[in-house]
Amino acid sequence: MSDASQHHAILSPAFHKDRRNLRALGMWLFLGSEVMFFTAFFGAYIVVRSAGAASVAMPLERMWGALNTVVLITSSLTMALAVQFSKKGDRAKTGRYLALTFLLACCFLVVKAIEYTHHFMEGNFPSHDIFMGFYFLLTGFHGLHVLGGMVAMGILWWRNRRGDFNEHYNDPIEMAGLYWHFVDLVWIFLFPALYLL
Amino acid sequence: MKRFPAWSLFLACMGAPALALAADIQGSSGWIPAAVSDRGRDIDALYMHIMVIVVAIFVITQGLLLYSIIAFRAKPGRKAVFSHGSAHVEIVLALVPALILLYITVASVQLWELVRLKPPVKDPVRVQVLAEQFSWNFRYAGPDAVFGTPDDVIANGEMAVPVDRDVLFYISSKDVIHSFFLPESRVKQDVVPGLLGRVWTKWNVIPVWDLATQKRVLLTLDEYEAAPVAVSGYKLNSEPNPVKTWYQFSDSARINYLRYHYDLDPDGKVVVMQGGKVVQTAPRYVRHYFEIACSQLCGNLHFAMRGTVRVLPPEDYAAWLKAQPHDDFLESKWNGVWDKYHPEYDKAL
Amino acid sequence: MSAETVNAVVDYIHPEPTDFFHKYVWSYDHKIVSKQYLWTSLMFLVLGGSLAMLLRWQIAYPNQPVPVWGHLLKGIFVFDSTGAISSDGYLQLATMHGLIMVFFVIIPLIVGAFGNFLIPLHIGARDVAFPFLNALSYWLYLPAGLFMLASFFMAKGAGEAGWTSYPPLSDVAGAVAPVWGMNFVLIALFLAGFSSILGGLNFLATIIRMRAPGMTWSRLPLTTWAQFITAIFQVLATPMLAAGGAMLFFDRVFHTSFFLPHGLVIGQEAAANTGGGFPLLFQHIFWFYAHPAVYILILPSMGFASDILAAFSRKPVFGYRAMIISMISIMGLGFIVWGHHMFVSGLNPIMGMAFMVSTVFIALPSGVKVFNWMGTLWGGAIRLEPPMLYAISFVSMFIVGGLSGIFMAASPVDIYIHDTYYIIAHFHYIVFGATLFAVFAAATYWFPKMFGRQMNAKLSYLHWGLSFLFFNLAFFPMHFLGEAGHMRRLMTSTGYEFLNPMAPWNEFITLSAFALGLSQILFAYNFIYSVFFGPKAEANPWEAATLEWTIPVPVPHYNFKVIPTVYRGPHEYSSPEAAPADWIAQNVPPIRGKAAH
Repeated sequence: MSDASQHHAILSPAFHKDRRNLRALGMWLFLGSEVMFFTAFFGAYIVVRSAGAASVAMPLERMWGALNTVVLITSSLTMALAVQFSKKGDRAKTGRYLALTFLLACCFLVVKAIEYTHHFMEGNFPSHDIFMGFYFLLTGFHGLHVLGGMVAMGILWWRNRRGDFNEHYNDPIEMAGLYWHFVDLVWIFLFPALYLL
Repeated sequence: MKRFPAWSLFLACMGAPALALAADIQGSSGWIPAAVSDRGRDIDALYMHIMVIVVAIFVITQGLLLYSIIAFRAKPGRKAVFSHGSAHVEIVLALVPALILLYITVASVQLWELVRLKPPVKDPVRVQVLAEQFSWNFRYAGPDAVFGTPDDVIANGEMAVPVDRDVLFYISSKDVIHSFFLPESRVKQDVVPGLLGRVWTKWNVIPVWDLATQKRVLLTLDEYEAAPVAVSGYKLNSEPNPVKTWYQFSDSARINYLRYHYDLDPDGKVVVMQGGKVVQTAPRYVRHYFEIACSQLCGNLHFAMRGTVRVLPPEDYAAWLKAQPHDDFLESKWNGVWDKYHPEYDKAL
Repeated sequence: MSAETVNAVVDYIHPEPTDFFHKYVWSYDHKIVSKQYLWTSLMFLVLGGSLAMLLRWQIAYPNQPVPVWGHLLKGIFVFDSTGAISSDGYLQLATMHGLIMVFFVIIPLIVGAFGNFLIPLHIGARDVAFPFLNALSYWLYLPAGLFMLASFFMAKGAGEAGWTSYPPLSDVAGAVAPVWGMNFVLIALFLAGFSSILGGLNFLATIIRMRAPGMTWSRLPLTTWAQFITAIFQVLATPMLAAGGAMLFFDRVFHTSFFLPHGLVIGQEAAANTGGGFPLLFQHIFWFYAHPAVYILILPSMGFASDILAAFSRKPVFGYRAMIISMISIMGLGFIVWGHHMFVSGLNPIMGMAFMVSTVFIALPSGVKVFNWMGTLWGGAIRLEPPMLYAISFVSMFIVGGLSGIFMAASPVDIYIHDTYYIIAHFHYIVFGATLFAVFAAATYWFPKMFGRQMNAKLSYLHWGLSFLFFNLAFFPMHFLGEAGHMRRLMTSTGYEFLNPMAPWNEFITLSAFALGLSQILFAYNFIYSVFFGPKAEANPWEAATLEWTIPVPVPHYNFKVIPTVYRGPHEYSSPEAAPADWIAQNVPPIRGKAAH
C-alpha cells in the first residue's frame, strides 16, 4: 500500500467524503474559469462571423471533424467507465479503460495533426485569413487541453497500477473525469461552430 | 449626535456648500482652457455641477474623518459605543448619494445625447481626417462637394474652418489607433483603422495672438472685423514676400516675436523695436490657431503628433481652400487608404 | 470537517518539512508561500517604483541626461546615447511600470501574500484547500516575473504600447516595435494569469468548505469576505485576459489578424497581416478582464481596512451586513461596466449610455462602505497606532480617488478628460493612496503574527507622515494637469502650446514623487530590520478579536492545535459580554449564558 492509502486508512470515511467534495468544488471552479476562457474565443468568433468578416471560403473537411467527434465522445464514455470501475475498486478494469481513453485521445490528436498538415501543405496557415486564424486558435487551445488531459491520464494509469486507488479513494480519477467531459463538451461546440456553420 | 457641539455641526453643513458655491462662482477651476463651442460650454457646465457636489462631499467627509480622530481618541476611562450600526442611518446614507448619482446620470445622459447622437444637419463643412504615425491629414470635398475627385483640397498638419459654421469630421486612421483631440472644443474620439468615426463641432470665435499681452485672445466675427486687422507674424519678420500670401504660413506668431521688444503706439498699433529702433509697426493682433492633439498612444513620436486648426472668416476660408496646392503624395494616402477603407464616403452625403 | 487527530490530518495534508528545499522553496505551508509572495512582490515594488522615477525625470526635465543612471547605462536599456531617456525608452518605462505594478506587485501582495497568510487563520483552518496548487501558483508567478524582467533585455526592449497594449500598435511587430520583448510580456501575463486563477479557486474552495464550526458567513472577518469576492473576480475574469493575450500573441507571432483590419499601411508599407479583424475587439476582451481587475486591486485592502479600523476603534464595524451587500454589489456591477474605458473609443454611443448608467451606480456601494468606515470610527475609543493611521488615510484617499472617478463616469465630461492626467490621478489615488496604504496598514498590523516581532512604531509614524504628505503633493496636481487637457504617455508636453502653462506643475510633481520614493526607504529599512532584529512580539499585541490572534507566535506548522469553535462575530469590541475587558475573541465560549451574536 502506498503512503496515500495508508493515511487514508487512518482517517474516517466522513473525512474523505469532505475531501472529495472539496476537490470536486475545486475542479468545478477550474472548469468555470476554462468556460470563461473559451467563451472569450467563441464570443470573438461569433462577433467576427456575424460582421461577415470570416466567411468559410474553404470549408473544412467535415469527415475528419466528424471522426474526431465520434472519437472524443467515445473517449468520454470510456472515461466514465473508468470512473465507475474505480468506484467499485476494480483495479484492472479501471486501468484498462484509462488506457483506452488515453489511446482515443491520441487518436484525436493524430487526426488533428493530419488536418493541420493538410492545411499547411495547401498554404492555409493561421495568417491566411481570419477564419483560419480562429480555426487554429480554437482547435489549438482545445488540442493543448486534450494533451493536458492525456498527461493526467497517464499519471493516473500509473498510479492505479501502483495501487493508490480503491473503492474509498478514487478522487483524482473522478476529477480527471470531470475535466475530460469538459474537454469533450468544448469540442461539441467547436465542431458545429467551425465545421458545420 | 451628542458629542458634536451644535455650532460645529452647523458650520460643517453650511460651510461645505458655501465653499463649493464659491468655487462655482469663480467660473472655472483655473486650468481648463476656455471652451469655444456651445457643446464645450455645456460640458464645462456639467463638470462644474459635479465639482460643486464633489467638493461638498469632500469637505464634509474629510472634515468628519478629522473630527472623529480628535473627538473619539482613546482616553483612560472612555469606552467605545457598542453598536453594530443602524439600518436607518444606513438607508439614509445610501439614498442620499443614490439621488445625487441619479441627478448626475440624468444630466449626463441628456448631454451625451446632445453631444454624440445629434450631428449637425444644416450644411456643415465636411472634412475627412486621416491620422497616421505621426501627423494629421485632412481632405475637403472641393467645389463639387464630392470626395475622391481631383478638385479635393488636401492638407497635412494644418487645416482651416470657417467661423460660426458647423464642421463635421469623418475620422479614420491608416495604421494604429490615434485620438482626435480638440481641447478647447471638448472634442475627443479615438481614430481607429478600419472604423469610420464621426465628430462635430462649431467654432464661434476666431483665435488671435495679442502681441501686446502675449496671450491668445478669442474674438467673435464681429469683434474680429472691428479690430485691427490680424495678419500672420511671419510677414513682419522677413522681407515682404509677394508670392506667398499670409494664410499659407503656419508658424506660431509668438515665436517670431520673441526676439523683439514691442510697445503700443498711440494708434493702438504695436510698434516692433529692435535695439531701440523702430523696425516695423504692425496691427495689434496676429492670426493664431487652435491645436489638435493626439490623445491615444500611437508610437514613439506620439508626443509630437500635433496639428493646428485655423478658424477664419468665411471669405478667408474660401480663399484658403482655393489656395491649397495639389499634392500627389498626400493624395495617394487617400486613394490608397481612405477610399479603400470607406468607399461609401467617396460620394456626397 | 469531522474531528480527527491533529497529526493524522496534518500528515495527510502536508507533514512538517525537514529539509531546506521543502521548508523554504517548494513549500505546501500557506504561511511560507505567503512570505515567498511577499518578498518577491516587494522587490518588484522597488523595480516598478524606480521605473516611475525615471519616467517622472523625463517629464520634468525633457531630454536631460538622467543623473547617475543615465551616465552608467548610456545607450542601453531605456537610455539614449546621451544618457537621457529615449522616446522608445519612455514608452517602455510607462508600459512596464503599469504592468509590473498591477500584476507583479499589488495582486501578489494583497492576494498572494496577505490572502494566503490570513485566510486559513481567519476561518480556523490548518491550510488552504489545495496546498499543492498553492505552491504551484507561486512557482508560476515567479517565472512570469522573470519573463517580464527578461523582456527588457530583448533586442528592442520591453513592451511599448502602454499597459493596455492596444492593437494595432501592440500588434505591429516590425521595424518600430519591440518583437520578442512584447512577446515575453504576453507570456508573462499568461503565466501570471494562470497563477492568479489557481490561487483564486484555491481561496474560494477554502472559504466555502473549510470554515471552523460556528464560523458562519456572517461571522467571517471582512478581510476574508473581501478575499472571497476578489477570488470570484480572479476565477471568472482572468481567463479573458489570457484569451485576449493569446489572440494578440497569435497576431504577433503567427501573423493572424484578429485585431487588424484590411488595408493597414504602416509607414509606407502595407502591413504584412491579411486583415479582417477589429481593433475594438481587443479593447472589449481586455477591459472585460481589466475592469474586474481593478476591483481585485481594491477589495482586499478594503477588507484589511475594515478589520483594522474596528480593532483600533474598539467597536464593531458599522453595518457589517451592508458591507457584505456592498461587496456583492460591486461584484455584480463590476462585470457590466467595462465599456466606461471605451467611451471615446468609437464605441456605439447607445452602448456608451448603458455603460455610463452602470458606472455611475457602482459608486454607490463604495460610498456606502466609506460611510460605514466613518461610522466605525464614530463613537469609538480610537488608538492611533501605526496600522490605524494608515487605515484612516486609506479611507481619506479612497474618498478622493472615488470622487474623481465620478467625473469620468459622466461620459460627456469623460470626452474631455479621457486619457489625460485626470485618470492617472484617479487610479493612483486608489491604487497607491488607498491600496498601498492599506498594505502598509496590513504589514504593520500582521507583522507580529507573521514574523513574531514588532516593527518600530516611531519609524512607522515618520514613514506615514512623509508618504501621506508627498503622495498628495505628487498626485493631487495631476487633477489640474488633467483639467488642462494634458494627455497621458507624453514624453514631453513642450510641443503643445496649450500645455506650456502646466510645465511648472510637472516639475513640482516630479520633485514630490522623488521625495515620496525616498520616503519608502524608511519603510523598507523598518520592515527588513524588524524581521531579523525587531523586539519579540506577544501573541496578541493589539488585543484583537479574530482567530489568528488566539494562536502563539511563531505560528506552528499546523496553525491550530484544536480547530476552534466560533461563537460570535469578528469585531466584538466593547461588547457588554466582554466587560470589564473591551474585547472578546471569537472562539471564547459565551459567558454567563449571554446570547452570542
